[in-house]
Amino acid sequence: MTISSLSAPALVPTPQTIAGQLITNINLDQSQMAALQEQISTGFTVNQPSDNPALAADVMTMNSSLVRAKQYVSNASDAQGWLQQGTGTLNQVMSTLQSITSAVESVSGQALTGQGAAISGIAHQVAAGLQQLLGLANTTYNGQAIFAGTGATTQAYSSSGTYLGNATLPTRTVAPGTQVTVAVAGTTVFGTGAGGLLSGAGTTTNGPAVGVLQTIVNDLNAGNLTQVMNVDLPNLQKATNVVAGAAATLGAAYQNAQAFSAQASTTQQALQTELGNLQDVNLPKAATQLTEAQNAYQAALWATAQVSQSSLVQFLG
Amino acid sequence: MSNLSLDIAASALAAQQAGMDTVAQNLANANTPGYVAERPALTTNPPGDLLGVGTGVRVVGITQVPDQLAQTANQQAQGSLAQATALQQVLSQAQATFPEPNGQGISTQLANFWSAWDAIAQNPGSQAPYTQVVNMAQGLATSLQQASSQLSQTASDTSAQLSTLVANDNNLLSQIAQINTQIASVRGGGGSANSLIDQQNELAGQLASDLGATATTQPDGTMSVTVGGSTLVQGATVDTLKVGSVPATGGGTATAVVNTANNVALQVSSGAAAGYLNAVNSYLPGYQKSLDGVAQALATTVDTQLAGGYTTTAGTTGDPLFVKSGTSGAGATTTGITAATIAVNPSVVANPQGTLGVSSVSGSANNDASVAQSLAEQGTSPTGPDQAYTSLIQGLGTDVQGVNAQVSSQTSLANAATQNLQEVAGVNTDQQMVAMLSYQHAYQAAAQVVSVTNTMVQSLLQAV
Repeated sequence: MTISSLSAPALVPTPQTIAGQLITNINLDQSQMAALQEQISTGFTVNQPSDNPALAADVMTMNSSLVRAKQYVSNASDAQGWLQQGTGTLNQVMSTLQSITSAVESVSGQALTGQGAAISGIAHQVAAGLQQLLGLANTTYNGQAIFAGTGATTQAYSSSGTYLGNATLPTRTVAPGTQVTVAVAGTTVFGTGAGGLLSGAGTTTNGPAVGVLQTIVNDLNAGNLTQVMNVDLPNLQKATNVVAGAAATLGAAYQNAQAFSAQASTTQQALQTELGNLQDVNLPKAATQLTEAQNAYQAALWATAQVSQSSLVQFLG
Repeated sequence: MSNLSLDIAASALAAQQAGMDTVAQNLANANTPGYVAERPALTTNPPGDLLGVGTGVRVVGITQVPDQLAQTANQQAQGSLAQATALQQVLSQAQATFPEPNGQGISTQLANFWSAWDAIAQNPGSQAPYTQVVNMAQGLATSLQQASSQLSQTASDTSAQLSTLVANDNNLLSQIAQINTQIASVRGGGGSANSLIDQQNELAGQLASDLGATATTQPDGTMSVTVGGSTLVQGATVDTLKVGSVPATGGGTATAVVNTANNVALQVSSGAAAGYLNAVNSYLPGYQKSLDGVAQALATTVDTQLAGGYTTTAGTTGDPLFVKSGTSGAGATTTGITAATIAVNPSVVANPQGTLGVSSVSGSANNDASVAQSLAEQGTSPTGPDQAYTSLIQGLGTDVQGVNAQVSSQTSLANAATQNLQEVAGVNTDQQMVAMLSYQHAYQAAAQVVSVTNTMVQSLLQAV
């Protein structure tokens, strides 16, 4: 008979297999430690897309939303700037118009007929008011004339009171799909033609293209006081009402923009917080896990150091 | 008269000595890679006469522990592990092309690019925001080109690695064929081919890792090697392999390992070669295609919007922003753009404000920027580049995550298979010590038989 059999002998671990298994364990512990150390050093839970593909996609989308939200905040503050400038300017326009109106009204209170110097003084005052209004109508914000619509011009009105802008109004995007109008067109505030405040500035003959204020100046200079009181003054009132209406529109838009601006900031904050929750490492948790991993690593090292300290060889001989 | 006891004791001494020799050989090779433990095959000598007492023991050969099953299982496990590891190596490199999600990757560039259009809306009359948009567009085009060329580089690196691997395997295959010749001659002379078989097993293990090769021991003791059903080594005959290009199933060509003997592509389904082939034929072209999709979506989204707008400087139709590199002006090519060929229109670079159609007002100069405002909102478009890019990154991340998991599970399987092989075929020192004791005791006992027989013969001689 032979003492060698054809079946494999019973499986007994050899020193080589024990060492191999221990080294595998050590490597595993080491890679766990490396992953935790990377998280702690970068401060992010996801450092490669493969760490958590779905979360990585969320972080990317959230990052884009955050960049967009920051831009909405910037847009809203730009819109507020425009509207603040607009409402401020229209307030000045109203007070200028009030002083012109009271000057013109003073014509009726006194028997001015024949007092050429006084009338001419009032005419000068109105003409100066007209120039002041022209200046206000050409107010700019960040280099752009705020009453010129989207016209490519730094001035809304020429020195003769001709509108240089267009009727398309500038807007700002303050939320996804939401735009606010940030200005009113000069023609909406100051009117056009004979009913306009600025039209025909400097033209000494009345006509259909000559506006309310210039007509008053011309009529005063011509001594036509009845015309001033009965026709021109009511026209001035009408024009003033138009300005007041425009001021109200702008004021409402300003409040609207303020609300959107606050909302955009809140959204940005919320996104920032949410992004932090998504991608930031929970430091105490990661540190605890790292300590655990280090302990496991040391234990594996210790176990490896203990391997094959004894064998049957020691007890023979 | 011959003394039977002395003859039997002499055969026992020789047999136990052979046993001690195998123990010494096993212990000497306890740490030799691929060494399979040996043991003497002992058999009883038949009786010399009718009384029926046997005539001792003899050594019929030194056999190796039967380990073919464990060897095959280990080779298969190593092949699967090598395949997953090779794929992991290539895909990790592809993933490193994209510094996402926290770095300044293409997703951040896209987000900033969209917001830059709102800066034009805030100040349409100024040159600066237009220039900024063009600079960001150039940055995006450059990033896409770089990512595309890095993916191509990864693919060519992988092919080069595959070629090196195949060249090395040709060498291993011819070594196996050479050893087959030696085994035939050793066996012919009645000698033991154990150490040659150990060497062949080592070579076969490497081939299993590289190509997923299967080794079979033939009845004559030689080794045959096949890959995917195609025989590469049989006896002294060996085929040479090369890396070549073959027609792909879905059209086009695919990289393959080709047998030069018959020019047929091997069906490599395991081993590092399978991982590399999968990467260059499937994964990397897929990523490249997705990246091209991102580039085309970017160009289409931006150019379509701009085509419906007018310049702020003259109210005329503008030029496309993203074009195929090498084309320029209003009629530049905007279709068939890939990540490698995306470029910013040179005519727009030369005069951003005069060529970008950001306004919806035509006919005259104006400060409208509604088209720019609409472009600023394109980041969330379901057909836009952001969605395409995010899904590329998520897909790539999922692939790498999958292959990482595969590597870790294959690692434990391969470790278990190696351990199993070691336990079956390796040298266990404790077992060898016990065997040594048995041989020692048997040897001492046989020596005692010689001594006692001697005494018996002596006493007989004195009596005479």
